[in-house]
Amino acid sequence: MSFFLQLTISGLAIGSVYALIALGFVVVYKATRVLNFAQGDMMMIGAFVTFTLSSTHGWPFFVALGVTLVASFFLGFVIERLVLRPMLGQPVFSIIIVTIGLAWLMRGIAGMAFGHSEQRITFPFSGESVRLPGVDVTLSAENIATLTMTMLTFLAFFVFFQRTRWGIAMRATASNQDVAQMMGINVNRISALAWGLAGVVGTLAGVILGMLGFLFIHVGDTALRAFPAAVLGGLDATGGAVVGGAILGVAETLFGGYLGGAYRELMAWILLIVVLLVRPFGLFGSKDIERV
Amino acid sequence: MSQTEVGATAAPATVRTPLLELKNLEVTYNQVVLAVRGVSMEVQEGTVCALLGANGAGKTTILRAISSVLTSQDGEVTDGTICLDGDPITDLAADKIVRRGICHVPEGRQVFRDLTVEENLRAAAFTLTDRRKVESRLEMVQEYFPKLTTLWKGKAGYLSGGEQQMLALGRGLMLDPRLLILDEPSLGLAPVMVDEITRIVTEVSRQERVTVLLVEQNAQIALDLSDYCYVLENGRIVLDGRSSEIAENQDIKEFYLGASEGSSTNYAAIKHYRRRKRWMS
Repeated sequence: MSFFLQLTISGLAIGSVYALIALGFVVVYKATRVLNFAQGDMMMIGAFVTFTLSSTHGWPFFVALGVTLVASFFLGFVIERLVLRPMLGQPVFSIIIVTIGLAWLMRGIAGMAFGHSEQRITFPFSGESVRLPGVDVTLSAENIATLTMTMLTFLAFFVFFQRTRWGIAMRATASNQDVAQMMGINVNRISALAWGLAGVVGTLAGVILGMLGFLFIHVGDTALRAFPAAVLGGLDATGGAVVGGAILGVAETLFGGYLGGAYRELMAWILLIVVLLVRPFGLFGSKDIERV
Repeated sequence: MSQTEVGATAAPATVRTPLLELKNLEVTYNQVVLAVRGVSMEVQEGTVCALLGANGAGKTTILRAISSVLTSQDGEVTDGTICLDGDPITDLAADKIVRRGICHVPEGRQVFRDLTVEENLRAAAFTLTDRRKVESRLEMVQEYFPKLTTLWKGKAGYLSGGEQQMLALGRGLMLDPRLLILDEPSLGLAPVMVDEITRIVTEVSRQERVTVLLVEQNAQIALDLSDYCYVLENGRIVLDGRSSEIAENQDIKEFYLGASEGSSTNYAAIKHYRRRKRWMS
């Protein structure tokens, strides 16, 4: 039982990372209908910047993280402005290819700037842990930080989408861009904002992975592993990202824990294929209603 | 021929600058399809102006040109100007147009289906940064459409056609517009609903002192509601005048009000058709 619980906890922790990455996919997809294959590399850049600031320059961890979050918002913003905006009106397919190009470009730049070795972001409370009384389960400081950060992020996003003027405008744009424009919503700004937010959640995910010891320039490939989480939850559903991420993380860890590491990798893709067969629009996604 | 002349000579005899003025507007889709061919019209402040025309006449295109949302359909204004208070607004972006007080209620209702009724209205108030104003406009919309209050937290996609049209109108009112553009508010609605919508539009235009530009295929509604009317065919204004006079026009009676004597295949109808053709060439 405790083995099961322990696996579930670490599954949830890794699921949080997937959920955050999935959220990045979802935000951009919702606002612009573009699948952003550069999400993973935006995440990698954010993680490396935090690492450089905190480990190399000795900034306190949370200050480094805060500064990086702000910077990554602007990175997303700038990417939208410089690369995506000029592509406006082009077929979605070309735009997606551009994001793939962007991903490799960022990876190349990161290789030059941060080197090719594997790094780890030191979390201030690293090594400490909490034993849950009653059940034989240990929560590491990283686990707690991961779960808290993810929950806070999703709470913030929930409030943003449900309550704020920009959040509602973003959902309106996702629902019907044409009419959103008629209502005076500047859809270009909405798309820039979406990319900025994707940068922020990307950095969070990257930093968490970095704390777990996964920080190298190819860590962006992990984002592709999170892709099933986004699809599972529904590409246009924010809540779906968290559920998709959690399901994927837990399923992966449980399969890995009981059947051996080889099955771990398989799980994500089996889930992806099954979900696409049964519910092509995801668990919480909306069926696309074609409007002309 | 000289379409501009038609507009110029038949314009209402006032010296006031019209609230909205189209001068020789020309709109092209995909750089080849000429959808609007030199349309000139004026909408005087405080009036209800109707634009009447059949499917494909270019009505919606004109409206999209005014609110600057042509680009998503690959259209562009290739000639002419659009003026608000005599000020050219042809090249302004869509959000700037809204900020200038022009609100466009699109055809086919087009509510934000995944958003609740309340969120639809709030999204429409995007350009309003004053929270108190948003709340007071929300209350006002609820007063005009008590039905919406009962559906407040429900998703707009589940509303009936009439309710969606109410919501679309309500959205248009959120910004306290100077000019409300209504694109076929009667489209696809049951007659009872059409009456209801008509009543509300009249009420709104009087009480809120909103100028209305109404586009309709349904000539009866358009002529009943409006003070002044333009008739559009094949991207050109073929006739304009006071709505009361237009309603008496024999051709309009036949072509748009369906009051032809005998069957539509008789000689008279064909003769009228020929006469109508003459205006257009």
